[in-house]
Amino acid sequence: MMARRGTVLLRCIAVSLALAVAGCGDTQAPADSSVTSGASPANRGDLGTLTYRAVDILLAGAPDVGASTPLVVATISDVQDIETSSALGNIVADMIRTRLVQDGHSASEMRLRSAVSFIKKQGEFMLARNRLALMPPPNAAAIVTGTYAVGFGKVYVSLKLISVTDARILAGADFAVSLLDVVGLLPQARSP
Amino acid sequence: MSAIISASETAPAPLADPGDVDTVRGCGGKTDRRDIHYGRIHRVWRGAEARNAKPCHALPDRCCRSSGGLHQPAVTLKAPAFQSSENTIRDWNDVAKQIASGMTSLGLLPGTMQPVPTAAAPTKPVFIRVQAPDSAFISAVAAELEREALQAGAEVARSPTGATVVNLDVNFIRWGPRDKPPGLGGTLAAVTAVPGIVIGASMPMSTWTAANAAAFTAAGLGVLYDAAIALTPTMNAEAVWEATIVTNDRVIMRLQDPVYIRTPDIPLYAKSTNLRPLSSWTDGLPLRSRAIRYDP
Repeated sequence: MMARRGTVLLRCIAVSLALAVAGCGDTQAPADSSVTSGASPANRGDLGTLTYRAVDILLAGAPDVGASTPLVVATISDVQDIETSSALGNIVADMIRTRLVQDGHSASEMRLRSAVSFIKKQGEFMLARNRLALMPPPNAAAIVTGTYAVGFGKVYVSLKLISVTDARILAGADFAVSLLDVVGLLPQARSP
Repeated sequence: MSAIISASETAPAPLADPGDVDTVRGCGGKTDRRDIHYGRIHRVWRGAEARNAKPCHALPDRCCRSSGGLHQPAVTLKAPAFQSSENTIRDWNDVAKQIASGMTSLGLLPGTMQPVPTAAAPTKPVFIRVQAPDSAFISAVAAELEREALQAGAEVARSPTGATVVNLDVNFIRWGPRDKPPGLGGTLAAVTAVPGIVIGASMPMSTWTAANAAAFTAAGLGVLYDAAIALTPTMNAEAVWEATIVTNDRVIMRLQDPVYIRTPDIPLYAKSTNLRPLSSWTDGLPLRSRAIRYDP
């Protein structure tokens, strides 16, 4: 009888020890609030996630841009020289087009050729940047464009949705992506 | 009831008659001479006497000086109040139902329980504005509110033009960690009670039953005490959701409610972007478009 009760006592103590150890696992993070931390450019995720999210925020910020509003996406340019870009600026623009269409919006492809181009040992191409080979320019009510800047550890991308009739910025969204994730898309970052 | 009863003292000093000036020993062991009307504290004192305690009436400063932990003022006790906690999707849906119910009461949504159909003007379509687009909580509430509106017979607008706009936002607050007494105190007390069993058993004429009962009661209480300490979270977080309803460019209703959330759930309520609330527009002119020209 005593031995059985002793076993019960030992079990109780073991349970208590386990609970006490578990209780020590509480995170001791400091006080925080979304009000004090404030808004910031999104920075969690890879380039695709951040771009898609930025497009969603752009559209949420401009409810007057409906599904039938014709949109055009321009290349995201280098903030220091807005007439130049890189693979980063072009792939971000392409992902913006993708996301716009996924969201059910009407986006036009400005680079569409009027005729298929066959290039030996390369393939068949329907995109071009030669304006003489392109389809007639599309109509647009708003344009998505923006800039990027390369920092030491991050690349900051700023997107804007702009009305084509009066250059009014309808909505904006920023994000920051780790430089290590996009270093291959930036020629100036690759060069020593 | 401002008397402080100290149980740390031993036998009470003899008290004089009511109305006398008495010498009272404080909690800190010092002897203070204070004018205490014995009759005023008589009732408290009699109760404490039975527990071998001593009153420290009008001596809070002296009493507390000996104990460092008592320097802070006592915290005002709060009356218990109910506050919901969010840990399932159903809880989130309840938030949407609460908003829909408020809108129905204002006639912004057609009531499904109206006994007699009224000839009131048809309700405007509802546009739900998500101010925190990267908050999972707000997205879920918006989706459920849209469903509620449709189920009630209202129309859901895709543009705020001429609609009743419901702006949804949320903020979270994570309070700092609270002080927690060190754990295992109860268990250690129980362990120390184990030798008592042996001693009690070795005593002549002793009964095992009494010793066992005492030891296991001590063990049980100790484990319970430690379990309570271990299971009580030191972190406390809350989320405050807010629904601002605007129609005809006028705020006509604002609902706000705090809910308890678990600290690891904060990312479901956090937002990196906060969009401003929208008003309902009346001039719903679509964006004009024009042909893009190519730079030669």
